[in-house]
Amino acid sequence: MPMRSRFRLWLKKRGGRRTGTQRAALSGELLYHSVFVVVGAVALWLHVANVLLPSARSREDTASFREAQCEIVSRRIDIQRVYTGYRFSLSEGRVVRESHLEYRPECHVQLLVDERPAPPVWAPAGGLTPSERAAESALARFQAGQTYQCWVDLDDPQQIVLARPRLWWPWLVTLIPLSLIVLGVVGGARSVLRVGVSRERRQSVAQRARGWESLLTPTSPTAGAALPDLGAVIDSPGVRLPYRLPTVGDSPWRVAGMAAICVAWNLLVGFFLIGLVMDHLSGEPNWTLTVVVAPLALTGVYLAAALVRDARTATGVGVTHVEVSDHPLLPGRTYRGVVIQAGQFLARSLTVSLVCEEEATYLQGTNTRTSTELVYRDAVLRERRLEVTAGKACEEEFSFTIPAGAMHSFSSPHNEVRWALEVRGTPVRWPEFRRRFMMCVYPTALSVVPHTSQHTEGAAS
Amino acid sequence: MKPQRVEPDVTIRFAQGRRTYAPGEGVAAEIRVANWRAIDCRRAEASVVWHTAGKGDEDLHVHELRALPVSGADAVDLSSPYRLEATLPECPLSYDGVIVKVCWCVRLRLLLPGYRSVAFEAPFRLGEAWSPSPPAEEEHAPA
Repeated sequence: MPMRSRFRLWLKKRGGRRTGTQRAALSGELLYHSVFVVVGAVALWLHVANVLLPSARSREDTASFREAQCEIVSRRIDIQRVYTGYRFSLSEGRVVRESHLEYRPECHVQLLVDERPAPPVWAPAGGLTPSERAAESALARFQAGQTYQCWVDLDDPQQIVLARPRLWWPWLVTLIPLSLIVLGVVGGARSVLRVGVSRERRQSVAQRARGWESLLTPTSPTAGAALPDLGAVIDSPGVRLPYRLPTVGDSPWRVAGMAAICVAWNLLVGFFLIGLVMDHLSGEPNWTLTVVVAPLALTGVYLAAALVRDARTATGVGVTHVEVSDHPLLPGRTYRGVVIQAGQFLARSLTVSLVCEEEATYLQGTNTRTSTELVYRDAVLRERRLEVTAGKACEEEFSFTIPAGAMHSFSSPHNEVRWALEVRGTPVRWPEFRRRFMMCVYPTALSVVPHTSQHTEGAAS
Repeated sequence: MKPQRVEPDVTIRFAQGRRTYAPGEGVAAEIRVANWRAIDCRRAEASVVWHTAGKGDEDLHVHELRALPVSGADAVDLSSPYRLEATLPECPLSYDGVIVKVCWCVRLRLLLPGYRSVAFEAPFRLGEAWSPSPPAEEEHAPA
């Protein structure tokens, strides 16, 4: 086995290798998911016992109260010590009872009964709360000397309440522990099912589901055959030949994206540069910051230069179109093509090549990497000293043959074989450009009839 | 003393010794587990699949899947050859590329005690797609 030419100290793991047995893996996963269930269950019990049930009881207790009017005489916050349990105190060396203070806002109210004031009683203006600020906030709604609505127990007029809050947020908070329980249960069920179900069975079920989905939404007839979708090409008619091929990769959005990154980067660097320059001019240079910002500034200059180069190529060279006579293509057959180049420039050469490349995507730890390999190239057009003038696009016709026995276009989630026509130009005053146009090569035996050139070609310019 | 684990002795033979099929043809294979009665198999599945290999992560597509009952009245005895037949599709063709490979195979998966799953496969070729050669620049007269 050849040694690696470059030794990487940190190499993330690739592939789905497992350390240990399936049983140990299942036990670990079930333990992980059961933690979610237990935490969710405990949180749910605490929430129901301390928030939901008291709130429900409070509403139930005051359900039979009748509405009345009362006058506030005075206000207070009643402080109560609530004991919650026992703990062992290291400093005292004994078990002590745990407690904390809770606050209840109360008002001294005078009920108006048959237009005669009744003796004042203390009525709660809110529930017991561990937060003194919450109690003060509840009490602030009631002012002494003012008249407010209240609720009185018909059986015991001494029982009066000033507030019957309808709390909605406790029910929303219930979703948190419930979601933990659901996560744990679903995750545990998936772990068990995954062990008991083979990879082929899971894939078969997924394929069947995609088949049902295709009944509801129209998809390409080749969707299950690992062939690329023809829609992007069939839906785009050409002007000289029936099919205009879509461009791969290079697009105006790339230049726009680069511009956004370049502007953002240089604005940030400029912000630091202004401060640095002012420090230097004032005689108090910050050399540490200067050393840090210098490479960032150089990077900003490089980004700007790259942006200018790409923008010049995109705007100065003009749009390139490639059209073909048939689609999809079959191995062993010859087709006609035309390249239409717009713009205004003089080119040393213009080359059109038939290329085939493989692309493989893989996970390396948490990174997704893509590797591309060119496996076939055949120059089908080579023009020297081409002049493209404004207002009149340059058109060059060519023919190309898909090699007999060639692999057809192949597309799966992580692997791809794709065919394209690559246009490479070398303008005199602009940077070299390379543009690719995707096309689909089908296997010879496929029963889907390829679309052949049916319409009359447009009038030559 | 821990009981010794018995590994299945699996053979997969293609009908007429063929290993290459044309698109649309039928593939037939006989699957046999010589020590079937000695292993404690919980579940068995025979399938015709294609999967990718090479640099990218593996993609799997199941073309034909047969669940073989191992208990009950319909239990299959794999000590006798079990015949698996399937009509192959027109694509994808078998392909041995540089970083992408498409491989067709007949696969037998056995679920053994302790949640241990083992798979045995026999590859075959579908179609005759060529392996790529290094890119070459060829002179081509313009149309």
